Amino acid sequence: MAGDGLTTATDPVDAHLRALGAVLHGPARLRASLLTEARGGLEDAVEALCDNGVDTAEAQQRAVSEFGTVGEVADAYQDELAAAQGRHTAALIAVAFPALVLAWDLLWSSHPPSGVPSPLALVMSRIEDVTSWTAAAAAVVAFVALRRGRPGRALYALTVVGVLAPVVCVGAAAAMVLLGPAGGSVYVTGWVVSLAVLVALVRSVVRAHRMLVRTRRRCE
Amino acid sequence: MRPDSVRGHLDGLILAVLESGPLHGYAIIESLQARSGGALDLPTGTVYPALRRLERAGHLAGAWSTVGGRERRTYRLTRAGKHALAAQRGEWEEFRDVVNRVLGGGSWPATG
Repeated sequence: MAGDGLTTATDPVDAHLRALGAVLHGPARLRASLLTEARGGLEDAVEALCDNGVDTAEAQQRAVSEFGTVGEVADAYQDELAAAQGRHTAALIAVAFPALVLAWDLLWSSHPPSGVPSPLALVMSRIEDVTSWTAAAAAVVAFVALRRGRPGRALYALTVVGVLAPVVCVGAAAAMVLLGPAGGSVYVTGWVVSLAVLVALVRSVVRAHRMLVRTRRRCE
Repeated sequence: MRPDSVRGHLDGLILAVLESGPLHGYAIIESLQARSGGALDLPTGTVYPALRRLERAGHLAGAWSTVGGRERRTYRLTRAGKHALAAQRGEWEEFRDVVNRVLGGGSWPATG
């Protein structure tokens, strides 16, 4: 076993994959899948060279050198991870905002607030609805855009929408609480659930934004 | 051939290689090298993410399978991929004709 350990430690294929893995960030399953595929490709290349009479150590070196340096190949790999993270975030925005609007509509109709809402509270409610549907529509556009090419611009748009929309919605909701008639405890549950959903959403946006920063840094 | 000049055409070249049937990553690279007579000299590590990009665009469908006792990701051309390949061929032929007319010293007949 000690001998195996020594072989593994000096295996150029392993070392190269570790170096590539160290600079790739994104969804764990896709990252593992990309690295497994790269390993398979490198092993195939080593095998093909060995079949042509090259000795194993030289075959490993040549396979790694033909694969390209981490600097040469990392951008393309990172783009795939960024696009996947972006699509996940876009799907979350596209589903979460309409779901929150519909859930609140349901809550209001099943538990109408006591007293008449102020006109300003109605305006706030309208702002929330428009913001939510706009964010969802923008996320659908980003989701589709992230199918093609480099993900930078769509990720940027997603970050702007994913940060602005929750801020506007939480602000409008806070104003409604201050302006509107008091609701029952069911409303408190609604606020807590909505906030939890928005926090999860912003966390996903932040993760996607990190991918954007990495993608951009490499572009420059 | 310089990697830079290949890069812009890599997608079309990959789609063309997969036209005859599904292949896994390294077989695609071997096929690219064989069909180009060894003239395509690009880092093999750029082909794998290109395959994922084409899969993301819906031009390829990838699936894990066991080939020769190893886990390999095999890709096949989708219907959208076939359309994309036809479009790329058309664009390439048009481009080649234009460049030939200008650079080729007038030995090519004008087309269309």
